[in-house]
Amino acid sequence: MKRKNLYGILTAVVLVGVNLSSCSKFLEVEPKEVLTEDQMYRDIFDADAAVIGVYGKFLGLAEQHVLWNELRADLLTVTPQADPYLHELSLNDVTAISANNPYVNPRKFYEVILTCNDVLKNFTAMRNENKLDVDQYSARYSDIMAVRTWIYLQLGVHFGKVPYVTDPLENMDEVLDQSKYSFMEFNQLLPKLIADMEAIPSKRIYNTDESLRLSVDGFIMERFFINKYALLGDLYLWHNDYTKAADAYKNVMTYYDNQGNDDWTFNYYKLKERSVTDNNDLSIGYLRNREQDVRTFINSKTQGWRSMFSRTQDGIWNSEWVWTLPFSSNFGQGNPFIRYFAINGGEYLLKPSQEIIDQWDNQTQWNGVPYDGRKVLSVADADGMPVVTKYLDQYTALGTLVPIDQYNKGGKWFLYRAAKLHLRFAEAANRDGKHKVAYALLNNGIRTNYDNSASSDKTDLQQTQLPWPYDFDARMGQVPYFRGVWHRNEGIRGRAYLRNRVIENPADSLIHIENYLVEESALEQAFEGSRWEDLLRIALRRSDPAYLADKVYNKLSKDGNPNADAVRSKLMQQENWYLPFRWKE
Amino acid sequence: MKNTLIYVIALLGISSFLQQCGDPWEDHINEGLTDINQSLIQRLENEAGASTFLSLLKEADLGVELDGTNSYTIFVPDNQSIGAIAAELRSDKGALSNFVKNHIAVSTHRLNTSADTIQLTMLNGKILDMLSSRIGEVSFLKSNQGSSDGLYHILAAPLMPQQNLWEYITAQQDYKQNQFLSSLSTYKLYDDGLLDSEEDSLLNNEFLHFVGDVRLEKDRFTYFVLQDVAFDKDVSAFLPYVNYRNEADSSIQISRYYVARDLIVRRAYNKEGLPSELTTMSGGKLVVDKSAIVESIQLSNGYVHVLDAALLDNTQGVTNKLASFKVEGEEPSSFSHSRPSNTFHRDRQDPNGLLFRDIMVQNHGVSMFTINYRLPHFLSTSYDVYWRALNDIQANVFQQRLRILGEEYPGVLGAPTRDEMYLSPYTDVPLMNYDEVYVGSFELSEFQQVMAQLMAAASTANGVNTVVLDYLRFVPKVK
Repeated sequence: MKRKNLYGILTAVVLVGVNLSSCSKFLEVEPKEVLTEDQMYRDIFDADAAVIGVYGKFLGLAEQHVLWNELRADLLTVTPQADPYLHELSLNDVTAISANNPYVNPRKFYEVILTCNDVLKNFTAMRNENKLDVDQYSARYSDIMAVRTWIYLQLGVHFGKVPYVTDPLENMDEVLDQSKYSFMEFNQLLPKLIADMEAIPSKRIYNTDESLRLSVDGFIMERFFINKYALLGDLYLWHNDYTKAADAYKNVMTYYDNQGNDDWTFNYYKLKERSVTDNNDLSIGYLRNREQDVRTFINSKTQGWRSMFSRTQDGIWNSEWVWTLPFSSNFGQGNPFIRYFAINGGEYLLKPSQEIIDQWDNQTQWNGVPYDGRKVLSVADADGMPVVTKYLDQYTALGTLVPIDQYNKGGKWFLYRAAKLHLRFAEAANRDGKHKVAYALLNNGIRTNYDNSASSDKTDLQQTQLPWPYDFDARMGQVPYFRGVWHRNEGIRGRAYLRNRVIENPADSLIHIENYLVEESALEQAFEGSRWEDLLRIALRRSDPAYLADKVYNKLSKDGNPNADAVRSKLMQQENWYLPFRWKE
Repeated sequence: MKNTLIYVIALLGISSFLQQCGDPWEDHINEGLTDINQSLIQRLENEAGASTFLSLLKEADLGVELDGTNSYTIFVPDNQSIGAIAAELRSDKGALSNFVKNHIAVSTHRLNTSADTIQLTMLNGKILDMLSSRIGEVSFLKSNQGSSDGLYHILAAPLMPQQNLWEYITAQQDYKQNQFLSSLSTYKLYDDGLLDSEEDSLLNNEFLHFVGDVRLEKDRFTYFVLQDVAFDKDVSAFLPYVNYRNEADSSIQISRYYVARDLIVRRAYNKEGLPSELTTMSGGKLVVDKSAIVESIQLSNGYVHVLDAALLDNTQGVTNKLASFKVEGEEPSSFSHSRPSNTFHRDRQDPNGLLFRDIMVQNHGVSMFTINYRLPHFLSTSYDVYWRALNDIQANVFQQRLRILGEEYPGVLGAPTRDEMYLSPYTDVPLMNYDEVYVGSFELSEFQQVMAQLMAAASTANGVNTVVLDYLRFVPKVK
């Protein structure tokens, strides 16, 4: 046996020798197009490239993310041009989704997860070999872990139970190996994800001296990376840990406080009050003293509420956005949402549902205008056809909806902004018994709701006088002089120029306020990929399937869909809330 | 067995899906024969029923070549159906080419079995409607025959090229009504200096310009032509309403115009499908007794029905014709003073849930501030006038009034002048009143272009001199 082996080895050596003599140079050259494993993680720049690589892949999930969270819910629906698979998603009868529906395939999500796993393993290895210092490692490791956790949260929300894989796998299909990775229920997955996020070494954004903060192609990278506190807040909120959720959210809301820059302190994530004189704000507004004249309505890409979706990354933009990723024609195909939404330059496959139009039309602005201004700024009417414009403002001209430059398909994936942060903080606060805080943030802000206008001494007014995370100081006194951190907050509805919600039954203010918060989320963030999350979270929390089923029913019945009743009764069963986990190449 | 079951289920799935989103799919069921190795002409040469049309096609000057560089759809009338007219067509080159072109469309068009109209532009520019397995009124004998460069269908009857409405009006000069409408291309109805289209001399024609361009192939019209006796009767019946400067000749012409312009509807109705009541393109109501139709003619863009009975020889007929006229408050022509920062166009909702936009001018500091509305020609009759004015953002009731001015004429030293025809008393605008309010009535002795003025209170005080208007509505009355 041993002898035979020896012969074998000898033969091999001789053969290799013969080969070498004939083509030795070929073997010495390493292939140029392919990086070998040991070439990939050598220094901090390789680590940065890996981070950017993960985000590059992550960008490919944008379409499915928005389709899952909006088309399955009640605010977005299909046009006649949409393919049958989109119809299936819009109908949201998960028992009738065809086997080869490409939109429900979770494979892309796992591709990014496995990349994250690989990157995380290598970052740890680099740290052990001292190729990264502690701070460099903490920031990058935490970032990638947060991205992975975000993806798992999405998978959990939409599939109910998924394989939870934390190993880097060579072969993707190993994900389906039930012996190694059994399907984990959402309520088991959540604690895992929370534990993952609690364990990360850094929850802060990349420091300004980090190489990853350098601008790329004019895009300032500060809002490019996931916000870990916001994600943690979401996880706690799903898990009904309200105080912890509020704590995490409050960390985002106050992240820029007291760093020596008053604009940061008073404006960033504070939902700053309107700028009545020049409309350089993110509010629904009119020209000053002409509020009665609808011709002065601020409908602009550089002023007012609409501008947040397309304005340059200035201080006002930064005061709203928590996380957003840019699409650019310079890389890949550009903004994928143009295809779904645009009527010129796109295929116009999706449109706003009658349900969201009706919800907007049920609002009245302060000047008596009988609809929500955010309707006009989120949706346009093209010869009777409603068009979602939120994703198109960087691509098409206002009014005509014609592409400004049809080859420049820019745009953004809107992942997190201050309004969402406030709504979710308020949701946690409300459930945590702090109804008035929630009411104030939803309506016209902290200051007015904790004020007594008869008293000019504001020392003990205009503040919540609660401990962290419910402490809000919105004092704006002249004598004595106060400018509390929150004095500019005008609330979600205040910013939208809408009247306060009326709590008709104070005894049941908890449910009342929660319903209003979810409704406001629709009005404010329609089509931005939050809706299904909102509906599912509330339905799970209340164990109330009707909450979710009725919403989808409203959309379908207003669309005249004959299956509306059937879908409603299916959605009354919790097992029908989740997409089938169908793995496809 | 198992496989069959899967296919059945799949088919059921597909068919249920097809029902939802319909017709383009259904067409695939009507799959004809396609032979991509043969050109369209080669395939037609082997088609037994197509020989007559093919020979006509080869003789006609099409202006395009069927040589495979572009794909076409040919609607081929069956040999039997055109045997009788072929010889006549051959004798007239122009008619032959028009006839053949009326059967060919660029690109491929499969049989449309749905009830949704597909409009096909044929080579001669005519637009034919294809729906419910018919094109025009003609049914298919054989459909969706494909080739390397197009499709053909075999039809049961030829698609005779038809006149459009304007071609009909100018060609069919036996009727006084048609003569009159044609004459408007050269005759000027009003001496207002308007209407001189450099690009299109036919747009000097008031009928084409103001009522509708009936030359358009893609639009659809139903036009009623009165036989001469009936036409004359109606013209004299309507004459009192169009007293133009007391000049008989001009007035008669205008009366003719007013009679004719209310005899056209923007939709194609054949005699059978004609509803009892129609809204004309100029907004009037038209009630036609089908038994008065003595002839119906199909056009390429609609239908003509010839009527042998007058419509305005009874009060009801005139009442139908007198349409009320509405002017929107937020569409003024001018203001007495420029107050842009006090002028508000407002969106509001009435108690029925309907959105409307109005105009409000508030805190302008001008006594008797006025908003002017230039209006079109008003008839020489009396009018009732109503407004809707919403006073919703003030706590007090304010007053405003309406003035009607007559046609502009050069007054002293040639300055443009208008005479006052009516001045309403100052009228309260009560709080939160969404109803239409009767303002007053006035009588015009002459047919003329008037101006309405909405006038604020004689005060410079804020809140007192506010003016607000959703709309004014003028209702002409029967004499």
